[in-house]
Amino acid sequence: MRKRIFISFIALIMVFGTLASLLLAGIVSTVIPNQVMKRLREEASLVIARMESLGAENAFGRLISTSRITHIAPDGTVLFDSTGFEDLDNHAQREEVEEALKTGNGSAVRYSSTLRANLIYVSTRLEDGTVLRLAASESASREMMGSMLPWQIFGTLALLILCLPLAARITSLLVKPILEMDLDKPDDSLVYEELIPLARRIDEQAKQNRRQLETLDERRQELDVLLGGMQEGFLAMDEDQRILLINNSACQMLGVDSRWALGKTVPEVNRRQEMLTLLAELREKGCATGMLGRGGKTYMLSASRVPHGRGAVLLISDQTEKVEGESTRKRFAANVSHELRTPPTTICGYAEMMDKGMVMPQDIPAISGVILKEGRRMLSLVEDILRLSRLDEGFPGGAHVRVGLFDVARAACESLLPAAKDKGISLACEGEEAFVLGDRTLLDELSSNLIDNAIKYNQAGGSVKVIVSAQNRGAVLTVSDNGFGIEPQHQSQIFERFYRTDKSRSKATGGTGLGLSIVKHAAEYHSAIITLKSTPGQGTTIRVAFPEPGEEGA
Amino acid sequence: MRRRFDEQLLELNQEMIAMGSRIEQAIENAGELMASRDVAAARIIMQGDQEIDRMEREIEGRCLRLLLMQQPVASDLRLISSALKMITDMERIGDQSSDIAEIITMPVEGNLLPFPSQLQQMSRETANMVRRAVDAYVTRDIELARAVVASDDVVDNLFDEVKRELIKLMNDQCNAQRHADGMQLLDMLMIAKYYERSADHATNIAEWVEYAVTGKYKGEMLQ
Repeated sequence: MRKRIFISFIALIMVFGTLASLLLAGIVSTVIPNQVMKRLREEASLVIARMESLGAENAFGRLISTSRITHIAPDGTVLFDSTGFEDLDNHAQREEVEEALKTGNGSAVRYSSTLRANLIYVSTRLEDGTVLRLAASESASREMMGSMLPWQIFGTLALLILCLPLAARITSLLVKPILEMDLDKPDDSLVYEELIPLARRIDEQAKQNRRQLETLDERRQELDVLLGGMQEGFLAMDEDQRILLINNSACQMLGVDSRWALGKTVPEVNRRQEMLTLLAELREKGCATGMLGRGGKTYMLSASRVPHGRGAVLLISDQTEKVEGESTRKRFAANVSHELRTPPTTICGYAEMMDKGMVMPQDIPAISGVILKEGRRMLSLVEDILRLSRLDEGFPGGAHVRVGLFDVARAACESLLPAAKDKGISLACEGEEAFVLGDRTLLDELSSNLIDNAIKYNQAGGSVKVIVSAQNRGAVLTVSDNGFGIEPQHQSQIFERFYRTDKSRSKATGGTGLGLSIVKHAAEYHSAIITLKSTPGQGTTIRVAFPEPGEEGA
Repeated sequence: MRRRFDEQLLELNQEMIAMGSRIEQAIENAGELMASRDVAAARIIMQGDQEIDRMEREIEGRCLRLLLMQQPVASDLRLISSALKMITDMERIGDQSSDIAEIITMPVEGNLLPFPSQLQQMSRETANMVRRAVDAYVTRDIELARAVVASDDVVDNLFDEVKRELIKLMNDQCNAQRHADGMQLLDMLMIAKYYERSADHATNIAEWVEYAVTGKYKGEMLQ
């Protein structure tokens, strides 16, 4: 704007300067021929006076003049010419001669074919009818103009130089209020009222922009909260698989820093074959799913292209538990089918032998003993499985009442005392009464199973000690024995279904392999914590710590 | 023109990452075979090597096309030329993984000998080096690249340890007059050598990463 105003000023000055010089030139070019004509007429009257006194021939003879003097007869014949040219053609048709013949005086500015130059002519008709014509070169005016030209250029330049600082000053004066305008408060600082609508508009738009930015920011925050709170990993990418958006969960799952990951391509962030295959499939079909193992966890990836766009989103969900649960269930199903098949096979085999009459009467007690044992085994197996499946469902119908844990433990000890005596194991139950909020049957199962195991995996002459104590207002059941103990590598797995540290030994003791699994579930039902301490060859101590009854909100 | 070039560079990068992913997976899986001796898994590694070879040819072609048609300069030129060098090392790692897989699952006479713990450690260390070298390429991390170069000594020391262990085992075998198992010990030596070579290739990759980023190869400016 400053530049424009400045240039406009200079242009204006230049236009005026040029116009002034043109005007001057115009004046000069009209005034000078008039002056010349006037001089020619005066000279003509002098010549005429001379002709009258001296006669035509003598008058011309000694005449000294810079002008060209021509004497022309009424018929156009040139009688005399001061240039000295002889036999000039008939001059009757010359503009100024014709005019003089008609009116007495004539003048013209034209090209002379004789002298080959522009001349100013003045002619007068004499009393004898002849015409006297004087001519002078027009170059006088041109010379004058020529001498004026440098002055004109100089003047214009001087004008320009003088006006430059002036124009600059005026320009800055004009621009200053605009520069100093406070756009936040346009009404207060405005000098030019022409700018008021503009300022108002700017103000409005600024407000609108601010509002829009605020809304945008809010949306962004909402999205951030939404994505940040998501348990699943979320990742948005563009067509080049560059990451546009990634939430915290996704960063954790892929083990990257979110600031680093933004703008990187997905293969740069994770280049596992599973991921690359998924991306290739996504590119091909527009959607893809896959599994990705990382850091001991299993994640499910599902990606799909954004409708009407070329980007895609990727959802990552932690499937570790599900996958592990599935494999546990598969193992369980395989084990169940195996365990369930063994007893009926034995029973059927003996029954077939009896059917075919292949059994000696003296063998019958032994065989029926086996059948009985296998039948009982199957029964307890089915009971255990049913119990476990109920526990898997969260033990519906389970009670939440105050149960005396010591009571339960003592009852379990009493019922298992015969079995302990059979193996020659001493069984002692001691401690104080402590209350647990829960289901009596389950607690009974829990303590019987623990005590039963302690007796089973013990040698003759061993001892089993059951202690119930109240600690920190919670109850603790401790079952310790001095039996075989459990090898460290088995300790983490003994609570798994059908897990046996040693197949041959367990079959002999007659367990189903589900006892500790039931203990684990029963403890979980009561939010109790199981700790296992065992040294091979020295014995095992299992401690079940129940939380304070009040915690559950009795 | 530049946009097209950038796209091609991006594609080159993605292909390099894909190839890196393949070889690090291959060398890791080959190491796992020591525990499982799974013939099917070994076959997958050997077949994967063909895919790695195909990738090498493809990236090579792409690099040459880029060099000829785009006439890149400065960092672009370094990136493409180092990619050309790196894929050779990557391809060698793929080959060696395939060889290791083949040797491990080869049928043997007599009892299967367990692999010495030093050799297993060597396999883990090498796989780790390859992974970190590829990581250094992906993240253009010079520090990591230098760390990879430094950890080559670890694998070299392990190689010496494996050799000593194998000599000890061989002496034991000699005393026990069990010659059939000597073959397995030689195979183990081969495996150890392959790992040692793979670690060298990982070092090369790391050195080329440093060149691609800084223009320095083994501490000197390459012009």
